[in-house]
Amino acid sequence: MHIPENYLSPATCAVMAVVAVPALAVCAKKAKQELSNETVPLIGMCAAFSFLLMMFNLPLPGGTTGHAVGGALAAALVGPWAAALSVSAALVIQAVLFGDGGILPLGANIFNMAIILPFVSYFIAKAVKKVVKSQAGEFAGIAIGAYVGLNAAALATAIEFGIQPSIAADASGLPLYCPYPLSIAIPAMMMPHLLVAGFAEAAFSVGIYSFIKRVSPISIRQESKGGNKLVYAFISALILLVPLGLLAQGTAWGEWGAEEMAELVESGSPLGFTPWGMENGFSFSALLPDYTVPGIPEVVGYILSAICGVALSIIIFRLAAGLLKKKSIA
Amino acid sequence: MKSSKKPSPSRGGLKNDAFVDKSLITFISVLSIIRAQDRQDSWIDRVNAFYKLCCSLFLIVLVALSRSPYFVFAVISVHLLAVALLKTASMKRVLALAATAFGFSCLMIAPAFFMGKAGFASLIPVKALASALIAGMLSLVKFQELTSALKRLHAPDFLLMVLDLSIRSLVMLGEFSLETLQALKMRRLGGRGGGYRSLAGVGGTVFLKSKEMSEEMHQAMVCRGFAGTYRPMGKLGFGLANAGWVLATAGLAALFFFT
Repeated sequence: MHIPENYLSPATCAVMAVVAVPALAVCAKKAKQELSNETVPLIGMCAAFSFLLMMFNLPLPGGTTGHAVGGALAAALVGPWAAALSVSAALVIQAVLFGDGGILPLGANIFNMAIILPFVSYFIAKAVKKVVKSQAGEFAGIAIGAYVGLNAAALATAIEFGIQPSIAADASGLPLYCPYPLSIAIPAMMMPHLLVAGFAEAAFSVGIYSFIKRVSPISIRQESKGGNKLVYAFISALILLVPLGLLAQGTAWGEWGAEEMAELVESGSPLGFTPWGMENGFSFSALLPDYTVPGIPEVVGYILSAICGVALSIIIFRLAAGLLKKKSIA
Repeated sequence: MKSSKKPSPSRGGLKNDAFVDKSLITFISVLSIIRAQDRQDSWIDRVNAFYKLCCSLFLIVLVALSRSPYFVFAVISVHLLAVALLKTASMKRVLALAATAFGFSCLMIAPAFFMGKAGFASLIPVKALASALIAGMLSLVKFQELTSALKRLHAPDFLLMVLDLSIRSLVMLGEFSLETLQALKMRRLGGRGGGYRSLAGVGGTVFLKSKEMSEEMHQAMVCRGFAGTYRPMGKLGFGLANAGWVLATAGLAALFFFT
């Protein structure tokens, strides 16, 4: 999953570094708050541990071997903040000392493997543990979290690869960096992770976690309160990242507007007409068409649309929850 | 009724130990790379880590931005010349790294050729080779010197300390893991199954050991009154070796802007 040099455009690398650096600064602050004075030595040791985890070769079906990333396990053992810092340090050492993963795309690699993987796996594990309050639920949460977290990281990597032909092409439209569009990059990246690597990450995480829990349960980080704040911080970060969607040009497959239909190229030739049903059918004018607000810059409009969407979703869910509560009391 | 068929001690053991052997080899190779850093004594050591880091980062950005094969070939040529003057062990390491990056890139770009979508992307394997040579030369810098160079670039002390502690613990924990894996291999002699369980045990023990070591490290830091503040060691001179390195980089940069 380590992105090598020259597969992402320098602009993408810069954007990913701008996202990763403040995220790590927040992680450092939170890790210092959550853990005691021994934070720095523990993070250093955990970085070495994360690095070593990637060197354990696991036996896989068919006689081959593979290795886990260890981000989900680190999140379960020391919490997501310290895990993000540890995996980042391991990635820096891999890039500088061992040439594993590029130096320019380090921000992208940190974002995928040190931020997405630990945080997604941590939140999923926490949610499952909340629903199934037993040891089996705890282990199932870690396994599901590790599987989903690794695949989320692989998906982010695939998207970063896949948007390159759209954002970095020469005058004749030929790609300057990774030449595979999303339609190729996503299946090529997701297949091995969905079928093999995800299961290896889940098995390894649960195996080590259960061993430590059995041998030395005191070594596992105790859950701190205030988890909702983490969710809000995560949602806020996602809202700020929404303008990344503007990087991708063109319309998603099957989401064309009526005015785009005639110019739509299918099997090498333009369609040449607009279907009658689309031209004369029901037309609804949205308040924020294409997530933009007329009269203000596109990026600001995108962020405002995301804020509106999140706010409306929270209002609807809270009202629905209130109604359900009233009914149950009655 | 239980089957009386027992696994063949030698064949079964060999087949099932493949993952342990592979892990052992990975650990040994990583530890040897880190240890080799202390033994280096070639001309490259005379170039200050600060100049090497700045020049390498600058050249990596130029290679990524370049669309000119001439510039990329010039970078490769200059770096191959630098590699040729290294000691054999260091030369082998840098070339192995570059060859792996080039081979992997060729493999990744091959389908694009068949699809006719390669375009400038066909230059990627050559660019990967150039970047790997630059990164390979940078990887020969001693880690302590790299920390000092990062401090001169105003990297936060927290980050430097985490990196410094990581590399030191990597050797200690790596040796511990190596011993534990060897013990696992001896105990599994002729045995079958339990691959994941055994490795989970080794991984879990390594974590517990790292936690124990981090507590000891914290206590040692408290005893020595170390507050985690770094100061760059020595003055940043500009000798002949440094001047040569910076001039070569400047020449390549000129080629980038004029081709």
